[in-house]
Amino acid sequence: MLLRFIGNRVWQALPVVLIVAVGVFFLLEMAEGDAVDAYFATTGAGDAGLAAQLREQYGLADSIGTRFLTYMTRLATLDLGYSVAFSRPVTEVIASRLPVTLMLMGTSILVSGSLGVLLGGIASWRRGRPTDAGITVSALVFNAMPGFWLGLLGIILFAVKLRWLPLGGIGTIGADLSGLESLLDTVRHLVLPVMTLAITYLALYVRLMRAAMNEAADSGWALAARARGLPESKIVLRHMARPALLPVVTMLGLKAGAMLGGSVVIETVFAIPGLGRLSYEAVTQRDLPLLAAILLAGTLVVVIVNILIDLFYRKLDPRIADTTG
Amino acid sequence: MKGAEIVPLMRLSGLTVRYSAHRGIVDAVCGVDLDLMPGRVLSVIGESGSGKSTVLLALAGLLPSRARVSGSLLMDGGNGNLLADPSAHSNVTGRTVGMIFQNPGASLNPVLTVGDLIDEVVRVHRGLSKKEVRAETLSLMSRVGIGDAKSRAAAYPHQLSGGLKQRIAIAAALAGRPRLILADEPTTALDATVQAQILDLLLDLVDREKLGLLFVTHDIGVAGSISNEIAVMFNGRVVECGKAGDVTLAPKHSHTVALAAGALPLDLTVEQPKTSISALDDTAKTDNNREQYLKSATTPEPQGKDTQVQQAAKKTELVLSGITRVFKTGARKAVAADGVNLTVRSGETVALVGESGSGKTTLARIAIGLDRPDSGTVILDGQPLIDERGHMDRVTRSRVQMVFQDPLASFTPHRSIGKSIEVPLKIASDLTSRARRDRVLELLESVGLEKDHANRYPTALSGGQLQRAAIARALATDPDLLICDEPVASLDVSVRSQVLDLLTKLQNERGLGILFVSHDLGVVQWIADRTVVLYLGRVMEEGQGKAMWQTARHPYTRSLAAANPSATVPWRERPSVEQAKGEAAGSFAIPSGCRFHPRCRMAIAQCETTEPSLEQLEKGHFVACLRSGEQLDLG
Repeated sequence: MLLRFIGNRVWQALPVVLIVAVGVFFLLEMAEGDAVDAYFATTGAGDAGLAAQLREQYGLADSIGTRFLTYMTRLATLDLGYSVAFSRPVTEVIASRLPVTLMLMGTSILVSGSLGVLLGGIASWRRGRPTDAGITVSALVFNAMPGFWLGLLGIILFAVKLRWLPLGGIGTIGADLSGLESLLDTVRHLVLPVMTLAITYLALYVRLMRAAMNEAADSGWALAARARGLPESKIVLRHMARPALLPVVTMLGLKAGAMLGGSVVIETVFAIPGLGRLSYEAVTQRDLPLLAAILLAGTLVVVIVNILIDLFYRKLDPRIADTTG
Repeated sequence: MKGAEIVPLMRLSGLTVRYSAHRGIVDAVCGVDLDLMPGRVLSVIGESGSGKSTVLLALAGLLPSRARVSGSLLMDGGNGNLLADPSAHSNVTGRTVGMIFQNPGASLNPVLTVGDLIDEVVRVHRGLSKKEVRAETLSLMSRVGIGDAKSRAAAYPHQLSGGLKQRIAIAAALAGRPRLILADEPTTALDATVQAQILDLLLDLVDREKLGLLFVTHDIGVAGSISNEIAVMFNGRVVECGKAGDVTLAPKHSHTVALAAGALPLDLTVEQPKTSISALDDTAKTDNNREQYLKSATTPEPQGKDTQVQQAAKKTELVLSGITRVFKTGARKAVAADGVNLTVRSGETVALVGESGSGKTTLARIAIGLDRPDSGTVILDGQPLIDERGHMDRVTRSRVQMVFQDPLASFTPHRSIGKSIEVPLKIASDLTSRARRDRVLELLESVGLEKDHANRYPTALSGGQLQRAAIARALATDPDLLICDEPVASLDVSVRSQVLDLLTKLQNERGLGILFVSHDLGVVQWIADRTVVLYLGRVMEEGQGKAMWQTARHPYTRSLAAANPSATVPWRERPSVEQAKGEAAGSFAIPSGCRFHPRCRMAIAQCETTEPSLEQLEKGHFVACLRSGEQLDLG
């Protein structure tokens, strides 16, 4: 039953991937200029003959129909092609950048989700008191700030003034660390970008969790649990918090795509060599194969995250498994 | 009743519960005294807002902290006043006192298996090892009559039927070995046959284990049937308290009289013409000062309907034939109706009766064109209600109107009552806006509301007033037929009687045909000219008049009647042979042959294979039972 569920979800994701693939092609087609124009723009020189030769070489001279067909058949055979901008196979370029983004996005989702659950739970527990107001208001303030600005503030405070954390990047260059030290180094580099990304989305989870906990506190089963003489800690954790997690988890899945989008900005601010920065580079260089692959990779990441979240959801709420089969 | 040697399980005196509200201090409960002995049942009855649930929560120590509680509560021979000592009180909760609630679905945590849920309570109260905990849970489950406890323990609440869920809630309440059970309307949300089984279980616990049962209910029939003593609450006070028989047979306080008068018990003995049921005392109503209107306006003899005259004037006939409706969710199919024939004519009231899942609401929706059958036809005066393209024209639509169960949910919250009643007029008539407003006021008057109500919003009206407004809205287009889906199920008995009287009065005035969906047999017996009994989407029996329930032949109809508690018949003396076994299989799994056979006490081998057809026994009396021809002696 579980395998069939996963199979179903992958099957449902296919049209999403297809639509994205077609969309990417035509969006880039609508943009002015191609990879050769972009190449000449950066080198600053070139002649018509070379341009024509390059276009011939990269298959850019064909008609739009032919190019679309080539593009789609390549995708169908999972041949992602050759990056014009990096002069390397696209898969290689992506493989070098994807793990960083996954790490950034994954930890951000975990941090904002768990922090949101914790703070929202506390806010609901202290409903109507200063703690509640403090949590709700500050989460909203952070939510109102643009991520890049929050990131810049973080850099100025923690990296420049206090010098607690590194400025940017994903590891100390040339430090040649290993084992635990290397891990710690990565963590130190991740703290600011992860917190920046997490905090911008935090308000959403805080408010959701707070509302769900308030509702759970008034629910029949919380009252019944009290009537059975259970200690307060059990009532709050098992009979209120567990059912209250459901809407938060749903929202985590829905926001996974937005977080991937947000990481483009964050990666640029913190100079992190991830998928986000790569897509910026691919757009500026009109590198169609690379950009298509990035978007496909992003779609896949979002689809996979959502499948994982749905699996977690089924674990949390037994009613779902029975109705969706 | 205050035994000298036996210590009362619970002695409550002078309980007062106070809330500070915006308008000042509100006394929810005022000076309530209650005593309960082991092995006895005390019922607290009252309408909504009488304070009966507040008393129960105060006994369990579960009132919110903003409530100010005073009085004295002694429990199980202890000599400390629990109301004055919250920590001692919380030690008692779940141990000396177990509590069960109205809606078993809401009182069980949906994300825990029922076994884990009971385990947790056992663990907290009983210091047992891990293995012993589960063993104790399983023994508790068998104690409340759950067969196959081991596999049931792994189920989640949503996988269990309503009756099983309530049994689980009872098992969880018993886990701390309480001596006193507090029950807050524990059977109100259950079907009649399941209610009977849960009442059996509770009384059995009281008899065998000498537990005390404090039973809070709005249903004087249940209270009179199961209790030793009854306390009647009104406006936060106990207005009458005494032996169950005395309270139900010879009520002293006017409010008890009103409750008993509005109760409409199912009458299986003598046939006697009933007069207007809302012969209510002024004290019975707190929220509606218009009851005088109805007293004067109600026709004294609902039986004396002059249907002949009405039919001569305007004869309308809605014929549903061979209606089948199957709902598909994924691979599962729920059969809501399976070849049902039904006719409603001008001036008559046809009742659709059945337990939840019997398909009565689906039929009502089909009868008004809100839903379309998979097969079968709905014909209004020779014309299909809905044409082939699924369209229903304005005139037809205005001729059949509907009144829903929950009046508050059936009004748009931000639209005034007058505006809501005006909507159907805008659609179905060409009246000017001034004429429409006049018509709205006329309609309000005809249902016993005042002009002023037109400008109010739904939340500002009481349940009874809102249901009147809903009836006014249904009458706006001057329909020939009214479809009423449980129109009085959510109303207090005193208000309920008035709404039923209103429906009868309007029927007499306008010659309305009424399709009346209800699970309440007493109400149905009072109002119906013809009654159709449904079970899992199929008609089991159809009969005429009030005598239908005395002459019922189908075992299912008889089990419904037997499950209906009567205030004058003690529950333990009730004949149990007619009780249906178990619970309905659910419309996803219709049994073979006669669909009632797994629950039927009379089933023979043939019932498992042959589906009986609806046969006429005598004029107007149809039964679908293979054994209907036999002379039955069910005691």
